[in-house]
Amino acid sequence: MEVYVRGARSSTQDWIRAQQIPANQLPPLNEEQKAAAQREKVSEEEYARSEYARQLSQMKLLQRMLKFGRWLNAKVEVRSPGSQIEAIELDTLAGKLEIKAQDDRETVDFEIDEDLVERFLTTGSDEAEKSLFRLLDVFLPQQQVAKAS
Amino acid sequence: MKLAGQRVVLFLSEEGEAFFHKVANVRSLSPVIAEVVETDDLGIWVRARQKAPEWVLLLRWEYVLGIEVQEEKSKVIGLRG
Repeated sequence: MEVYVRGARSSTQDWIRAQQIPANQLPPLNEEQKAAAQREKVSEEEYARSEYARQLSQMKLLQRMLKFGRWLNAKVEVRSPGSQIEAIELDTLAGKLEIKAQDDRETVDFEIDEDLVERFLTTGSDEAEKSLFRLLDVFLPQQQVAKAS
Repeated sequence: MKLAGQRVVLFLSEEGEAFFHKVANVRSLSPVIAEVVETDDLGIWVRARQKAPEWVLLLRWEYVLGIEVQEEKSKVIGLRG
């Protein structure tokens, strides 16, 4: 399974962490970022700290999406043998997860609201899990076993 | 649109601008570049770079005329697992 995070956002925790590391440990800015710093009238160091915070948060989001993806894929495999999640891409600005799955016949694309996933990952709530399963019912329905007469 | 965690350009009303520059102690004029912490019914909670990292300010919606967000389509990271 492949997992992607599109765009970046920074959490308060990572922002604080980025303010605390020595300037010589900050990742260097490329020309585009230097120009952006100039445009935004902030020092290159300040801009680099902000970029670093975003990188930290982006990596955490990626790990989080991987954990969720593995969980979701395990559920899909049990509910619909032969189906699997192939890729998950979190669009940070839209707040949606774009899911690419494969059932026994075709590729299936669908979206999950990031808030729902976050509610599930932070509370483990039954209600959130049920909502996720309802989405699977629509896009990757459980296979019906035909009864032999 | 999920603004939390995004870096945005805020276009504020005159009143909002005066309030922001007074409270944040920022000399430069609008637009204001800030990191969004959260949005809710009250307004937009922002962190201004000029202040301490833990400093967060609520700008009420009536102060905000517009928000510019640069979508970073190219900024994609991924892994296989």
